[in-house]
Amino acid sequence: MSYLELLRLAAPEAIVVLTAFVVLTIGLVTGRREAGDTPAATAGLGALVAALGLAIAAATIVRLPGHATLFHGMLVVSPLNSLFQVIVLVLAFFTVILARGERLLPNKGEYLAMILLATVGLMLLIGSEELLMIFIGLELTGLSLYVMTAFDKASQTSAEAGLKYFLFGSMASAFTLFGLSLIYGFTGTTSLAAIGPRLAEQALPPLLFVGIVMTLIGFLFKIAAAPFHLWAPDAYQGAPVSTAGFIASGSKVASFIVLGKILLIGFGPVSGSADWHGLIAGWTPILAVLSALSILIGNLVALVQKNVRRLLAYSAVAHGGYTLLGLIAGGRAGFSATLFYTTIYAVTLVGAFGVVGFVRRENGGDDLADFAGLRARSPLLAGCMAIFLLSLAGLPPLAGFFGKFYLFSTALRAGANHGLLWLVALALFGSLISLYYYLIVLKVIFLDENAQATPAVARYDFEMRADYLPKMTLLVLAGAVLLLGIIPGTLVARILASFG
Amino acid sequence: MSPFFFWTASALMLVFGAAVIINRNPVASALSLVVSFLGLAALFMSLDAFFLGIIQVLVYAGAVMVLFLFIIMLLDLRAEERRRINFVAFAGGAAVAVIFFGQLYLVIGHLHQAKLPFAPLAPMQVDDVHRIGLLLFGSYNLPFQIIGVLILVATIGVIVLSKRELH
Amino acid sequence: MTSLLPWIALLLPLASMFVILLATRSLRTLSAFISVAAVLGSFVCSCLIFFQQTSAAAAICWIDLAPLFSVPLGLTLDPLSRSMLFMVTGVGAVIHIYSLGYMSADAGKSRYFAGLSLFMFAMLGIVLANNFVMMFIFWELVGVSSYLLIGHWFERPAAAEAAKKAFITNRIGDFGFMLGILMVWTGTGSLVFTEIAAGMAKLTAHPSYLTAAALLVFCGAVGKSAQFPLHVWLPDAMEGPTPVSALIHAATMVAAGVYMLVRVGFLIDASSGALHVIAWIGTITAVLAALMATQQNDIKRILAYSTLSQLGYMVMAVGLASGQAAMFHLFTHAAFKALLFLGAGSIIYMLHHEQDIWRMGGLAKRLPITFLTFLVGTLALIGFPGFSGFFSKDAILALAYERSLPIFAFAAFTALLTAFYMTRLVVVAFFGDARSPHAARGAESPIVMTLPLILLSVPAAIGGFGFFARNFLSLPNETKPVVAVPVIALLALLIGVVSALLLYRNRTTEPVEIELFRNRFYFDELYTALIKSTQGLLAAIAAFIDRWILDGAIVRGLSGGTWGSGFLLRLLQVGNLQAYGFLFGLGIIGLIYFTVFH
Repeated sequence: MSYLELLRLAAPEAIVVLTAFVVLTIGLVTGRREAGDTPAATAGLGALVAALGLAIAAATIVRLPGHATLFHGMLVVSPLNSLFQVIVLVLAFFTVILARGERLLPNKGEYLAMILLATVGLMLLIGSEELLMIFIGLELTGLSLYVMTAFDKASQTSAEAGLKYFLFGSMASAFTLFGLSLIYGFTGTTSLAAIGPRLAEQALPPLLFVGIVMTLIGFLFKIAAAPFHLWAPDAYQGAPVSTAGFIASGSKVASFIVLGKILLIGFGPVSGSADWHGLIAGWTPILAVLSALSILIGNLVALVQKNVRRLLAYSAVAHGGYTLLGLIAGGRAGFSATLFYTTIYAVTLVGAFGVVGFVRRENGGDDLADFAGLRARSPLLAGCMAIFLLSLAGLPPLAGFFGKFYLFSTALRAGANHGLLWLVALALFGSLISLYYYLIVLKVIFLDENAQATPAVARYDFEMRADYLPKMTLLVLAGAVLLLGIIPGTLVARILASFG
Repeated sequence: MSPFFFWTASALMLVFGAAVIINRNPVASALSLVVSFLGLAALFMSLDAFFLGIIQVLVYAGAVMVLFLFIIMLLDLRAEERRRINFVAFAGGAAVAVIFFGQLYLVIGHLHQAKLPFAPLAPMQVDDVHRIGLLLFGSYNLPFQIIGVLILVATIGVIVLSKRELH
Repeated sequence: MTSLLPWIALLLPLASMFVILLATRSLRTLSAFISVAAVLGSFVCSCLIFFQQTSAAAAICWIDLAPLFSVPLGLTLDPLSRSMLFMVTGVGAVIHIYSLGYMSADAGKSRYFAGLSLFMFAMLGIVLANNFVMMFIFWELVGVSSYLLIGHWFERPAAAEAAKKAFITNRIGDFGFMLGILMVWTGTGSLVFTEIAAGMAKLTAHPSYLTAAALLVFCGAVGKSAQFPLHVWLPDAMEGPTPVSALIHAATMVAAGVYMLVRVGFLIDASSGALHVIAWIGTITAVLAALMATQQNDIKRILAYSTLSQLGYMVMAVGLASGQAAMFHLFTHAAFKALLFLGAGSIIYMLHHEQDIWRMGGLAKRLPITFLTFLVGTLALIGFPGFSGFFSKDAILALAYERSLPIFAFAAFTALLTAFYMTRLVVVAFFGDARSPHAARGAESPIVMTLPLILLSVPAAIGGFGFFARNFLSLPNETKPVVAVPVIALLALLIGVVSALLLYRNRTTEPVEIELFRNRFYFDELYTALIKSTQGLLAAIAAFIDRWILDGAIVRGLSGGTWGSGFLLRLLQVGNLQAYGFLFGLGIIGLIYFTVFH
């Protein structure tokens, strides 16, 4: 190993960090107006540079060698990792574009830099198969997201959300660190690839299971699985809209892939079984219980939400529950189903939050009432939102349908004797409930009249402002959701092939 | 390592850790934190990690905490008002903590390694400053650099969030 | 070329939809003609397929992740789908033409025809699908298009509400359907109908699993074909434009459930338990719906309940293990029910959207063509000897007589009720004196609307004769003709007609009031109450959680929004953070308990 080698393999991460520096510098050099608002030129140039940096990083990933491992798995280059690093970069790219119109933010340069640094954290999470490095990636991501959540200093809810996210994130991290040290104590290694065989060759004491449970907590927190979801509604509602979108998309994708790798590569020998007729201790029953809990709590509480962001947060809890099904099923099929589902979910949510961002700019709020009659004001946004929500509800031919179908079918076929039938039935029932609240939102958008005769804030006119870029992005995302539903095979095949 | 030393240092650390939270006076809290750090340093040293222990004292208990104290005094933070204790919340929190420790106690109690005496540490070949340096610039180079990024994030975050906005 | 024909038939309406949505939205009349041309094109393709007996269709692999997962994109062309294709495009074409007249003045004409095209595409997809996934996708698309068309006049709250109800009720059925598909797939390892049929041995080895799977698949049909207890959406769906009611909620879509059951007949016939349940669900639906129909006043609702009741017959036939009888009745029903609905539409159109039969009267003289064709439809529906319904209903009755006498008794009773309520409808609406100004001034509809009526009345009249019907589908073979069956059927018919005549001749108001039937056995009230109480409970729980845990006092407790030094400390005092922490800790304890101590 040489430093050159390290630099070559970590080039994508390095590029994104450098881009963050450049963006910060642009913010510093161009200065600010008295009003506290970032000059348009700064914001525009910053966003351009950020987007460019992300694109270059993605291009660099493509040019990396197929397989390489550094420092016992601290940095692993493999087709799977590269694929998902690119996906995360793309999600960050969309977030940067959609953040362009974010009202409020006076420190635009810093905000963009935070997005980039969070992305570095996500890339490291995805690209490492070593516990220490995974933990650092988790912290880097977490810290950037806490700051981003609290970024809107004009809003109390933003500060509140940031603080809650931070406190509970730290708590979850503490448990994870404790768990990781227990795992290290038992196996004497932090490399995932080495942990599996060590676990397989010894008798497993209960303390090890405690270690596994605690390790999982940090990731379950990130994917907002009940009962570790309590931060999500506040963070999704209070954070700047683009941050909420990024938490729901990029952070979730990375968490699922790293959770999958830890469980399937590292803890493979202690998976256990969640079959209803043959429960065996291990992490599978833990995930099964949490998945069921998330599906129930997420869907039921979402039914009575009056705020669209909160509703999306609770539905995110439920979707986290569905996505866990793939990991419970295990194997190539299960993992690929989880990865596919979380990817399409991320794409959908970035789009949905994009629409929320527009409405928020128009009405200054994101309650259901603010969406009333959106169809009349902007058919484009209403149409995009319909596609996103119906995909979340799992309606064919949108991506959500195939994602669920693939996920549920692999889960059902995984256990012996259809042992996971109970969970699949529950998940289907949950998606039935979910249709109801998504339809409520769509009904408000398409049928209700806009009750606000005199808007509280100066009305943002959808058609006048030349926000072509964010709008085009939304169209692209909606198109992707449709396309991934019609030809899902390409992406799934790609994921499967990347397993090697 | 002698068990007596271990228990003393641990108890010191835990008791003063709790005192950080319980104390209503920020200065007292900060000083409790210093003592807690000292306990941690003692534990490091008992594991023959002298360099870490010294750094812990020098950097955390020394520099960082002194800075904390300065800031607290500069800002003239007053002791937080004594408020009514919410007994329900207190009981709930206490119950969770007790049950958690009970669970850990039961689990560790079943572990046969827990009943063995402390194994003697292998004698050190190289001085630990040297070793840590090699590790940081060798196989732990990547995490070391990433922690640099982490600190950058923290710095930007603190500045952006604590800065007063012009209105 | 021939192998592409079914694809062309399938995709033409889709293309029409896209053209209308993307290009000709503002040109309303052109949109309408594009849609009509597309469905006529599909019809021509179907004719070619039908008469050339095409059986090969090009198939491609849609999702190929073998060995984990693969879904082919293939069409199935067998006698069943060929005749269904012919029927759907035929009725569809007639109703498209009729819509030209009925919707001529509607502002949302482009939207309407785009919806119809989408529906044709989805419906043809169901008919042609050769595997469960494709069928499910088109199944849902049909639901979406039905939602859009029921809610066509969405500015009416009742229409928007009805559309939502139809959609959600259908999804409840689809929930079971999906689970059933997954179970069948897990059991046999395939999604393609022919492969499942070949691999049935794997399923029959586990009888209870098979029964569960078959019943779950049947759930889909319960939703789509509006069977008890999910029947509540169909009458409300009458809020949509009348041609939609005729096409979707009488002739084609609601019959899709029955078609699907016949398509997977091999699965259902293998489980006697499932058959038993299906037969009784059909019977209950038939009887209940007929009882409800006797007390309705809205002409479309009477027809809607009669549709429910006839669908009950078809499901009953499926449950009695005779797909042929079910399909036979499906065909004749499609013809005469479309005819009846279009006739009703003609009346409604000329009476300026008057739908109450008690405000009609004397229409026989004013709308002669509508009356005559409506009469043909009625005679066919009540099973008058010589008309199409007589033969198909007789086949089902004979089947019931042979397999299960209690079901036969209910079926015969339903026949009696059918005769009763249809006679009531005809007598009240077409005879006597005009009871409203519109009814007194009504005149015959334009030719574009009466022509479809005349076209449809031909199959409605003669569609049951063997020489005609045999060309289109394989008829149920009567093993040993029993004299008792037609005799009892005729007796029931006679009693029904005569009692209705005696009761309703020269009446101006309803002589008998049966609240239970009029209020549809209070099913809607029951469901509404259930949903309301569930939602109320959830809202109460959520409010509790919000108050005590989530939305704590932060917003209330903070006055200034400044980031002063006390901010953090003040925040930390707030109760909801403690509650969060408590739940968090509880979660961890619970997990450790579950893993280690459990």
